Amino acid sequence: MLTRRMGSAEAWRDTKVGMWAWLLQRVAAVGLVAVIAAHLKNPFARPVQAALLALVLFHGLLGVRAILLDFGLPVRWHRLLFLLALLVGVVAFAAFWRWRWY
Amino acid sequence: MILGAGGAGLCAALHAADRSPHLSVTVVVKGLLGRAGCTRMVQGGYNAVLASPDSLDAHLLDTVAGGGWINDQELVWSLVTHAPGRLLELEARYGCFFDRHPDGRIHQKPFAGQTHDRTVHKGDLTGIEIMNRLTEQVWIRPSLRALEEHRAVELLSDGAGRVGGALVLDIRRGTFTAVRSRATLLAMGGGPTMYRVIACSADKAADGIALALRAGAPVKDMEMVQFHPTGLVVPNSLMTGALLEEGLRGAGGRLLNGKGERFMSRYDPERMERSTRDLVARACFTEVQEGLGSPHGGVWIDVSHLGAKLVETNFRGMVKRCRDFGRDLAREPVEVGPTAHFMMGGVVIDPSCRTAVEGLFAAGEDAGGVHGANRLGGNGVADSTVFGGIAGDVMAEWVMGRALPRLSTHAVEAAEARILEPLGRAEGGEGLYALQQRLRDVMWEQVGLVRQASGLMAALREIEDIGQRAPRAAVPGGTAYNLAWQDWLNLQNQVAAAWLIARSALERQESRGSHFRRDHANTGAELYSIHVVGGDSAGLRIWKEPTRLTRLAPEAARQPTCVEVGD
Amino acid sequence: MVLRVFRWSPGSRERLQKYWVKARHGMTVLDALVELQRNSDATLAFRYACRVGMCGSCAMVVNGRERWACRTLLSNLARGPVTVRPLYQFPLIRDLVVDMAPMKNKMLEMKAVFVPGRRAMAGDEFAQIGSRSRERRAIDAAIECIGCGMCVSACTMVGHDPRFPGPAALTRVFTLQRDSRDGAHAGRSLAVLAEDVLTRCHGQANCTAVCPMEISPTDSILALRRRAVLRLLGIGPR
Ligand SMILES: Cc1cc2nc3c(=O)[nH]c(=O)nc-3n(C[C@H](O)[C@H](O)[C@H](O)COP(=O)(O)OP(=O)(O)OC[C@H]3O[C@@H](n4cnc5c(N)ncnc54)[C@H](O)[C@@H]3O)c2cc1C
Ligand code: SF4
Repeated sequence: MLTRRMGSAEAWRDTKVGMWAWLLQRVAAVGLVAVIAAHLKNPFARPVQAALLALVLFHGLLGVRAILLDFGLPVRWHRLLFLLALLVGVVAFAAFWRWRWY
Repeated sequence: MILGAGGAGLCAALHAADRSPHLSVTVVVKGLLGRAGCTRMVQGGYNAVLASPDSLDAHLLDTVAGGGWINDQELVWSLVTHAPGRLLELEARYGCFFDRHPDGRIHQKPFAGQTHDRTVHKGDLTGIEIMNRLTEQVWIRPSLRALEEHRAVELLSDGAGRVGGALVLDIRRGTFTAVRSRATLLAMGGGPTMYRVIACSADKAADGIALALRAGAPVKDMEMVQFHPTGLVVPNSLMTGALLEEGLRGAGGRLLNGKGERFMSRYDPERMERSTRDLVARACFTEVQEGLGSPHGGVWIDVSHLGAKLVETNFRGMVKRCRDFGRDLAREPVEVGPTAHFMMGGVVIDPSCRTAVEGLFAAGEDAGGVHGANRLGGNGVADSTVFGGIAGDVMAEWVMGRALPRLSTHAVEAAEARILEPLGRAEGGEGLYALQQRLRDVMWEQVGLVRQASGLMAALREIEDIGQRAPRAAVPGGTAYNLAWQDWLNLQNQVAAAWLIARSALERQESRGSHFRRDHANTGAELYSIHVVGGDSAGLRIWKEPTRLTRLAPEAARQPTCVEVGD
Repeated sequence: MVLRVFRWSPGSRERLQKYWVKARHGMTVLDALVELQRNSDATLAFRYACRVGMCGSCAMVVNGRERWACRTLLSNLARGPVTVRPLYQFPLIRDLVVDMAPMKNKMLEMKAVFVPGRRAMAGDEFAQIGSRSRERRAIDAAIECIGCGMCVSACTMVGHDPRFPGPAALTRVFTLQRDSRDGAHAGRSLAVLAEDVLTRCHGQANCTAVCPMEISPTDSILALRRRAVLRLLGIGPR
């Protein structure tokens, strides 16, 4: 039996949106753990704040996407939802960062 | 034991298992269970009389008239009377889910050549639905054992003229098993794969016909091979011959030759493209033969004038099929051509699927007589499921109280030795695939849509020559999953069936149904079938058997020269 | 054009063998394999039957993606060598041929087989289910599965947890649970509540992306999950 070897480039060729959405959310979650730890040590470090905000937004919005699908939104919209999540994430980040510029 | 697992094989297995759950039934299939063969490929649907004003008599008449009156009317009667029940069984017992009207009744669509809307379907993937559900049911019945990727290579006699089992080759491992059985069913689905362009599943090789012939069971109507007019033409691809639905012409599609002419005006000015399938197929063939074809040896079908939207909604599957090959059916002409589709001929059976050889039964496309000289669209799956079921019931009864036959180990060893011979033999002489191509070419050119005595005689000589060389062709590689070896086995059987087709076509000096002789273009008054029996060393015997009109006689007024047929 | 084809036979080592095929217009991956087998290497093993996209026998992994070889034009693939492997997650038999039995076994474990309900069994009539009813529309597309196994191969969760039944089996379960003619809903509902079944799907939709019949197993699994949750809450259909 062959299994997809995730270490190889071939396995990642042609990887589709749904997979990226899932992966990004998980990566964001892992990232959050590290960033939250850093944030607790020094809540005023700007880069850490930025990273925290970005990761929270992406993780949360992708989570909302997953929930919407779970609740019966047809899966054929999942790509659109992914784009939407990214877009809203970027816009929200920019808006928030401007608003809380201190 | 059941050889083959299309609609006929699986229905037989289920019926045998449900009739006597204690019997052990073995299903031998060349490919994966439920996935090989043509029942899977059925698009159009399943003919069954469900509600008035349609009637069994009308179905009988349509089938016999479509078959050029040489059908075995008792078999047809069996078909039409059992079809409604079998259909219900497929739905209610096995879980098939056919299309409905909005009010919940089963939807029946009109199919060419029929006087009523009779054809039950699941979209344009009826066969997949039927085969998937039958396969599931076979899985859960403990008395059924499936040997997947095993092929029957020879029937084995018990020494007293009865069939007592078969020699089976495990394709994966390359090992032989001699399976003993009290009753053996041929359900290997015929298959005109000896032609250059084919619509049917590429795994079939008329194995059942060849096995029956060698076992001494008579076959009939072998000259009757149905050609479909609109197979896709994809140069350099096996996809060539894949059907484009007949509905395209029905909806107003136009056929154009290489020069852009609507050539049907020269063949049937009145009905044009909606003319009968035989005529359209032959017209396409003739255009190509006369050098008026499209660049890749076909003609063009054009439905773009119907409006892209309409085509895309009504012929979704067909549009997708074309799109995969870079052609936009909805907006541009697509190259098509005639394609070998179905064998009406086959092993002679009685209405309980018995052949002339004791212990041997046949059903589905392997059997002959149901469709006569031409098959109506929608009668194919009906045939295989109805007669498969009958065979299963009959065989389950028949084996009661009979002893398991003994087989001569000598015969088994001889067969094995013959089959193993080409392996590892030194290359030399003509290659296997060159011979295969020769066979396909000669069948297409001389024994195809338009035939005549001189061509048939030349073809017979060519086939005999190929038949002499084929066993001597070398096969490289080992025994396990060796495609070349499988093709070598296929070729022997294709040659045997090809010879039967050409020889019977020569014998029938008239044109009828799918059989057209340029040198005998008229249909004769005499109704008969051509039978051939082989087997022992005495050689083959060929004779004309008069058709028995047990239920209907052709009334002059209703006798059509050609009948339009569907998929 | 260069083809790199996975080769393996019992007792030998796995390798990618390089072949050169003259790519002609209209040629599919299957055509290329057939040409190789006929003209250059007779020992190459692969499986096909209908060769027009109905039997689902020729599924394989081409350039990292599950595809049906008979309907995949070489010209539609990215430039460069084409890599052909057998499906993932299925035991190898030889070269590109795999054993599809695990998929069947998963289906049987999930009881994904029609059992005639009492009405259907007694009935001498076809069940009346309108063509536009919700039941029919839910089932219609999802029963067109050709059993090719591409979704199983593409599913990362099948790779991760061998007990996960996989997209194809769960899709069949879904169609049966929505089928009012079926008489075994209760047993199947229990079967899908087991660990490693519904909870295992992460909604990556890899299966949906590769399904050649444009079926969405992801939708089926999510729908099953919703039904299961409602049922556990005591407010859903049984
Ligand atoms: C493209 C297409 C469309 C069609 N559309 C329609 C339609 O719309 N309506 C209709 O009524 N009919 C249609 N037909 C005809 C219909 O498919 C056949 O009439 C019918 O399915 C034949 O069933 P069968 O069981 O006899 O054979 P098949 O279904 O062909 O099965 C043959 C089985 O035998 C196995 N086999 C072959 N050789 C061996 C061997 N040596 N050892 C072991 N096993 C072997 C094969 O693997 C396969 O499982 C269509 C046919 C084609 C090709
Ligand atoms: S759901 Fe689609 S991908 Fe999965 S087996 Fe069925 S047809 Fe193949």
